[in-house]
Amino acid sequence: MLKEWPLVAFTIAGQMAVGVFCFLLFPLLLLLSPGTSWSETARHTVLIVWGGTFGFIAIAAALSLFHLHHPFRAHHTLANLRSSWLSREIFFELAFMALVALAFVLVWTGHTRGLFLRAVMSASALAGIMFLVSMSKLYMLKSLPPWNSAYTGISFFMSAATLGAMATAWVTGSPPGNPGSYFSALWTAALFFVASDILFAVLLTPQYGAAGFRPGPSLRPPPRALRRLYFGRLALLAGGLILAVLGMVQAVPGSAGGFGSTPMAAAGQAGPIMTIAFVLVLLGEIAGRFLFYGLVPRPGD
Amino acid sequence: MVTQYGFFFNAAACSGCKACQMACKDRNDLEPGVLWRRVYEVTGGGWEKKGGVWVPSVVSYNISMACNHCEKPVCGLACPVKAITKREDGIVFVDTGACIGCRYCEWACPYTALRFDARTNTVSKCNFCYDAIDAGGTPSCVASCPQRALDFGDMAELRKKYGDVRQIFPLPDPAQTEPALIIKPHRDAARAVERAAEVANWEEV
Repeated sequence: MLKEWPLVAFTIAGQMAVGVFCFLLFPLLLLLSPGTSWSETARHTVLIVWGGTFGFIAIAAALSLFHLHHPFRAHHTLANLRSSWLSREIFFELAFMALVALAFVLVWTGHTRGLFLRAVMSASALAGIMFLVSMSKLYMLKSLPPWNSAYTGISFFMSAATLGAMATAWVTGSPPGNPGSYFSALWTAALFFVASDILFAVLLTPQYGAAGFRPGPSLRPPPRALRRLYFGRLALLAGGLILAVLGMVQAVPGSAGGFGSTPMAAAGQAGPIMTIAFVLVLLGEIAGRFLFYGLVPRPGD
Repeated sequence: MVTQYGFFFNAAACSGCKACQMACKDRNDLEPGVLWRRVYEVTGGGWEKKGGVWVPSVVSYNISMACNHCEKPVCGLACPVKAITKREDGIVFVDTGACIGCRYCEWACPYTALRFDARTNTVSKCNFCYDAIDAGGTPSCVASCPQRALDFGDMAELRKKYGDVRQIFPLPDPAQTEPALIIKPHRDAARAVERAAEVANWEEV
């Protein structure tokens, strides 16, 4: 199970990148009319988050090479788009990465008014979502009943939503001093997704969830010793959720609270409570992904 | 001309001696831990009360399993680099020169036929001893079985000789891959589910 760390890192980083894009950049663009000119601060913030998105997806692409035993043959992976979801996953990942980079360059060079940017961003969002869809379909194999359920797709999309919203909120700080603003809604969205993630995990996790699939005998070795990982994941997510709620309750407009000192909050930086909350949720997602791969041991390993 | 080679396995005759497994390892010079043919020991049951008497209700049989050179090889469909191909006679091959070692096919195959080979850093699997077949010979597993529990040939011929049973507990639904495999079930296989049978020798396979 621990041998699958490159896949854990690849899927988590890839999902976080799509989540950040879909939860900050794309909706932000939709909120703006094509003729709106961006303030320098807004452009700066967007560029930082955008750079982070590109960084996550580039890291994901690099980490994916570590699970190949012949990485120098990796350029052949697009050879079977006709029937392999793995080929399609790589195709959409590369498309997402290229489109995000193009859109970044457009904003960086000040081309923020044209419809072309909106078209590029829409195509990026579509490629990102298709990346998640192909990543889910890739594991939903008939030969692997523990993965061949809607929960695989649900958990991947929930990870993207949770990590995307939390990472964006953490990076931007999103102090709730300005109710109604887009940024201040991010932590609320993040808390909703973390709570949903916990609920889905309790109900649907294969083998352990209340209504989760219980695999029967097959020619594949049964999973071992995953119970601690399952409960550890739930504890980490719940810890992150509680801390984030505490941080939000403390953070009244104009005060320090969980978002750090007032100047920091004004500058858009999360404080230590929110940072710990984000780290706990991230660790919870990582534990959940190790659990996911642990459900299907490879024979002979 | 053969259009689809396949295996016949007689579970009723197999004693679980693993001569097929070892002959395969020997012929293909496989590393320790890499098994192209494996013998699963399926066991279950215990004791049950019939009237006033406790009687044994044990079920136990063996399944010798390699790549089934499926008519619908899902491993090949899943491979991102098209390193898994099918010959005209139905034998499914791994091209180790093209394989990138992503090991995705290991997950795709419900028979766990594909095994990672650390020597080549690629997956590997049964190649039906194609060179022996091409020379008019016999796959080593078939040749080595002292019980004559294994046979091979064209699937059309095998069906005529042995029928068309392709699944016993705990093999997957054959509709998934259309395996080139005919089985004569052991009598215990019919009671395996009700007696909660399972594979007992995971460490070996």
